[in-house]
Amino acid sequence: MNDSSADTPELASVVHEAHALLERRRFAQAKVVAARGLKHFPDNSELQYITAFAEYAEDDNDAAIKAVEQLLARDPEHYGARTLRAHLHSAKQEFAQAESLWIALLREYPEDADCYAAYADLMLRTLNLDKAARLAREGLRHSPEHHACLYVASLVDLIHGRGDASHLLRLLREHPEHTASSIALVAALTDRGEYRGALRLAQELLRNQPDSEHLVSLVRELKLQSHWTMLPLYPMQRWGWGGAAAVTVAGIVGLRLAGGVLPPALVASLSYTWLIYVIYSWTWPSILRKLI
Amino acid sequence: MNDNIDDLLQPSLGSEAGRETSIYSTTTGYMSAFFGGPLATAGIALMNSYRLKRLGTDWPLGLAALALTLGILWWEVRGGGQEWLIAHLGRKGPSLVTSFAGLATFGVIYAVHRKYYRNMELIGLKAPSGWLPGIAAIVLGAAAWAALAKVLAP
Amino acid sequence: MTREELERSLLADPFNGERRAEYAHLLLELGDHAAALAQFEILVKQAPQDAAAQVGLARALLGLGRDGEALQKYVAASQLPGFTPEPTLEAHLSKAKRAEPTRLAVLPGGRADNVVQLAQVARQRIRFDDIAGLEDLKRVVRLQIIEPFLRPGLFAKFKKRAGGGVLLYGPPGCGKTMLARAVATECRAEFISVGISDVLNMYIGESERNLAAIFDKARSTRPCVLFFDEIDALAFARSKAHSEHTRQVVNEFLAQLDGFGADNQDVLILSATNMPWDVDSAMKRPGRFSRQVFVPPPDEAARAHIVELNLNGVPHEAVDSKAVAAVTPHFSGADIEGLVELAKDYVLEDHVSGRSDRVIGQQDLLRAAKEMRPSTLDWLRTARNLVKYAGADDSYREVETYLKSHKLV
Repeated sequence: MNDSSADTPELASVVHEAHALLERRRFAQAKVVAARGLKHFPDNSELQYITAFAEYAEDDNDAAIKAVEQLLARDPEHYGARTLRAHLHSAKQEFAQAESLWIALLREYPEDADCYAAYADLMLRTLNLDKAARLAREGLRHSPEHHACLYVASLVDLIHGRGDASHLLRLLREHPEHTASSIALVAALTDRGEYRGALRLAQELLRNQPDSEHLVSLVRELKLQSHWTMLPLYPMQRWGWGGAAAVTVAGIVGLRLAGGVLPPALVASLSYTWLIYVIYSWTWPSILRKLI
Repeated sequence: MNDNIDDLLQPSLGSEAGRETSIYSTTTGYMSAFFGGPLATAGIALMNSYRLKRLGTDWPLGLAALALTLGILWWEVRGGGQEWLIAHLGRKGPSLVTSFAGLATFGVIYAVHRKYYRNMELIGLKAPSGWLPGIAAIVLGAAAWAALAKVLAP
Repeated sequence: MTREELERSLLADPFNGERRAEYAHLLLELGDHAAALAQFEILVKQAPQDAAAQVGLARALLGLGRDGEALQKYVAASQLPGFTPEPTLEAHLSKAKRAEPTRLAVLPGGRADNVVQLAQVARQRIRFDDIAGLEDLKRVVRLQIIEPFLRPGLFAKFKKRAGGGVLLYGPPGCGKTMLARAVATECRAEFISVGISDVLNMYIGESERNLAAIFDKARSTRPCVLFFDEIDALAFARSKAHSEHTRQVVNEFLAQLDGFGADNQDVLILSATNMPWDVDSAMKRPGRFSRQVFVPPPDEAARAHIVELNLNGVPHEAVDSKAVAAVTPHFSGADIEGLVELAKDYVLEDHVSGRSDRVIGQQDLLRAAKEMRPSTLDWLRTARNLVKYAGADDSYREVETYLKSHKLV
């Protein structure tokens, strides 16, 4: 059945209103408007899609899956529903199923940068880094300034750590207001150990979206990393296990050497200090995390 | 659709629904290395390789860890290494060498698996709990070390 | 420095304002006005009182052919300390045509084509006394909103700035709309309430025309209180908006607030929102909704009063409303109404099942209170994130005070 969403003014008006509410993150209201529209146009795919999307945006994945599968049963070619279903598979960690959907969509729409970006993001989440890079590159070939492809490509560059910031620079230049740009910059600053700068940026993001649990966790973690009491633990923060190992080896070797040169009382003090430092490095971050 | 894209659009993930792809953390790796030696950390590494479906590529890491272990033990047990270590580093000398060798082995493993560790860190993927495999690796690694030392003893 | 060098430098130090300003001016010189606009927007966000950044923003807008917005920004910049006139913009300003009066007309008592049908002026006059509790808030509202409106001369004598709009924000169901109506009554002014559906229209340009008509309607019926409910939907942050249409509605709203080409004297503009963080930041600048008033959940006295109000005319035995209020912390007015409705359900269930013919009692209310969860908690949790983690500025000071006094942070 051909149910073009702009057949009648009333339908078009309802669809427009629902979309406007979605854009303004008024998901509950968008569902109400869509439900009102569906009373008169029960088979309208666009309204059903809006309902499913609003459920997904409200983190009610089960309701969203039910809604989107009803829609796909009627209209299996609906682009929005198929992409949403793929995202829902990922949300449920059904990564193989999500991948199948993205592949099918890309076979139909081989120039769709949104799909390349989403597939690349899925590959990043499943540790297929090289494929993520290739997909992002392919997406950028079709749409050179696509923000999501640039975002994935920026993360790939950071992961490789080769110092190539070209994608991040392009992302910041072309989409400075986009949340993805700020998040990528936070990741870059954190990676370079610039925790204060990353914290300021993350706080700005949180001021814009204070109901985001992800951003709250990010800010809390950065507050922890940039806390003054974490300064003694800088080698572990900055270089991870390498820093921890180097400090451990330096401590052990240092104490051994000191044992042969310094008075026993001093060596004992140094040993206790070393022990306290080790205990501090193990326990303080967890304690601070609870205090922040 | 050209061959390049066709190759890109082949499934990379298995057909198993709900399988999460992540590996044991660097903490699990280097703690196993420090307390269990090269064999312990190699055990964790190979478990990660299995999760990443690259056991076929990474098995030489296990072999290298074994070779390092045998080399150190040969020197300690047959080459007078043990006495030398005790004389220069004290009673704990041999166990320190085990730890340092373990850390060095983990260094090599990290270099091989670096992009996966970095991927997990930057995307914020949660590593599976490393307690049980870590403890098992440490116990088995230490036991293997002791057993090999006994085997190599004159 | 070259463009690339400046970009790299900003990558390393994104909060270097001087470097960013240098980069933005370079982009202007290179003719890349869109990129320059983005950079000046960041500078203005980081330093809203920086006149030079505002002027730069205006120049970028002018370069993109958005003359109206450019002049708006330029006029706003001229109010800031350290402002230096910019020749090109000065020339445009002197030539600027006043906004044409709207072609729409509202005929009294009827409706014509192309006319916005607005919400009926409230017939029921709500007074401050009708609002339970919130004495501190009512005092603040009287001093900051009502009295300046009624006695502008007195406030001008003490060089107290009047004018501009007021943004009421807080958790849902806590009486923001009721407070706005009460303000209209106390101001002895007409009350026009505007919702999203009164403005938004799917045809390009119609939403802006609707908004202009609303302001004209308000100006033609002064003194008037013009109340925008759910203003976050109408003035949604442009940085978060995906569509150009959404941004244009905000631009029109800003132009109307600035009274560009019209006079907003004797029009008190109130707005309410549950999500102040979604309101475009330009809306909160001086001359617009610069006064932001937090409307908290009702205090214990107010909750007790609301319980009594809701039990009026309903069969009930003697009820200790204070005890009910004591076990309903953070409940909104709407939650208290819901609580009483739930209590009614318990009693009606007994009637229908034949168990007993009784009236609402204390136990019903207490039982309902145990079963219900205050609807304000999600909002308060979000506000807590803002105050505790986001390093929010002074604009949320009242929220912080409330959260601290209730040991929520």
